[in-house]
Amino acid sequence: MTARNTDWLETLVSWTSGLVVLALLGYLVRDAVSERQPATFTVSAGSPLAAGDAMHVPVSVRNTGDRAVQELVVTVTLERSGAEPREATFTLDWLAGRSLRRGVAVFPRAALSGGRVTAEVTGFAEP
Amino acid sequence: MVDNPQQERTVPDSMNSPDNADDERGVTLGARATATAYARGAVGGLIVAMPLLMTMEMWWGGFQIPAHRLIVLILVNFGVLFILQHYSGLHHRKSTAGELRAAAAAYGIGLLVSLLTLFALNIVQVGSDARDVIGKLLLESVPVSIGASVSISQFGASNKVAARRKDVEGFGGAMAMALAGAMFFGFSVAPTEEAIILGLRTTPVHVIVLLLASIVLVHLVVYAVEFRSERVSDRRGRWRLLLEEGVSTYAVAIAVSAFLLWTFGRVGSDVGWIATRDMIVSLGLVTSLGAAAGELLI
Repeated sequence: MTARNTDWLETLVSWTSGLVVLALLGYLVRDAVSERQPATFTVSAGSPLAAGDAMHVPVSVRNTGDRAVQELVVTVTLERSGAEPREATFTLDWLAGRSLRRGVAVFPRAALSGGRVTAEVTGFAEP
Repeated sequence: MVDNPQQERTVPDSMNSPDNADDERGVTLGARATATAYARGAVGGLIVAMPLLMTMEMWWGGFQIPAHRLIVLILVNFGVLFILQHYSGLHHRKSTAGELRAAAAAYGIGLLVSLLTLFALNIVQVGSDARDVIGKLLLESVPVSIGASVSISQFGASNKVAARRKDVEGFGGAMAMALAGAMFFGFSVAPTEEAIILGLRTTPVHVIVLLLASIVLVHLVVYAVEFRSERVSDRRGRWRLLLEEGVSTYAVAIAVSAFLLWTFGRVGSDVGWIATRDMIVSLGLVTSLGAAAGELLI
């Protein structure tokens, strides 16, 4: 096999592909030997949006660690002075490391007026 | 060479020549023909792997599977692609260097097709975590690249050198094709939750029946392949060879089943022996069919 038997496209594609595969291999080797940070979460609730008789509270959950989690339970609490707190929960099927996902908590429209909303992660499963 | 249409026109004649000597030397097809082969590979890989490109367990695997398992998967898949290039594959050229280049190109096609498809499906976005994206790409590129290599017929099945290699490949070659076939089939089930559920639902009776059924199916397919081929009527008895190849093919299939389940985290040190056995044997039904039919597929 000599160079004259290889056209430029084959040379370009095969060498580029080989280098990409080697680069990915190198990335994974580095990932395998480095320490992966456990999952940690930053949760923020957005402004409520009216939707019929309900109010939708958008919630963003960011995993700032390296490890992925599954079945992530987010609890959103509505606190109003003089009333029992109300809770709404939703579950994210998974959240990868260094990633962001969004969900929505639903409250009755009347219950939300004048209340304060907080959100937190209350549980997850390790993959 | 690229702009020489005369060179490209001479290729079919050389492929049809009695000794197919040009294939052995590695005549250049020209960039246009190579581009056609790659395009056919990309489309073929997409067709074969589309169900897995739309399987959520494959997407989850991108961040769930530890890096060391992905590294092993890359190496095994490259070996499978090399085997496929030897007996069929993306390119007509059948020298070791040419096959290595073609295997790398098939991997590259698999990565590119996977990336574009996952972007189109909004599974991967700009700003996604690099480790997650790389994991997804490496998983999805396995069936796409195998599909690309298998689906190409213009420079594979019609190639006389490749066809002759399959006819005279011997035991080692048969096991190599069994490995490729088992990977090809097993990858369609191993990532899914069904692989776990099937393993958990099976009773010892089911396991015995599945194991026996797999072995019988392997022998039936190997029997069909052997009697279609002329290569087994030589020094050893046909039935003995059939038995040897059948049992060995099943052993390869079971090994591939265990490897795939380990890759996707279905079996490991934290999973009990009985569940492990049941999952391996259940998936073994799929991989054994692929292993036995490997020679027919390639």
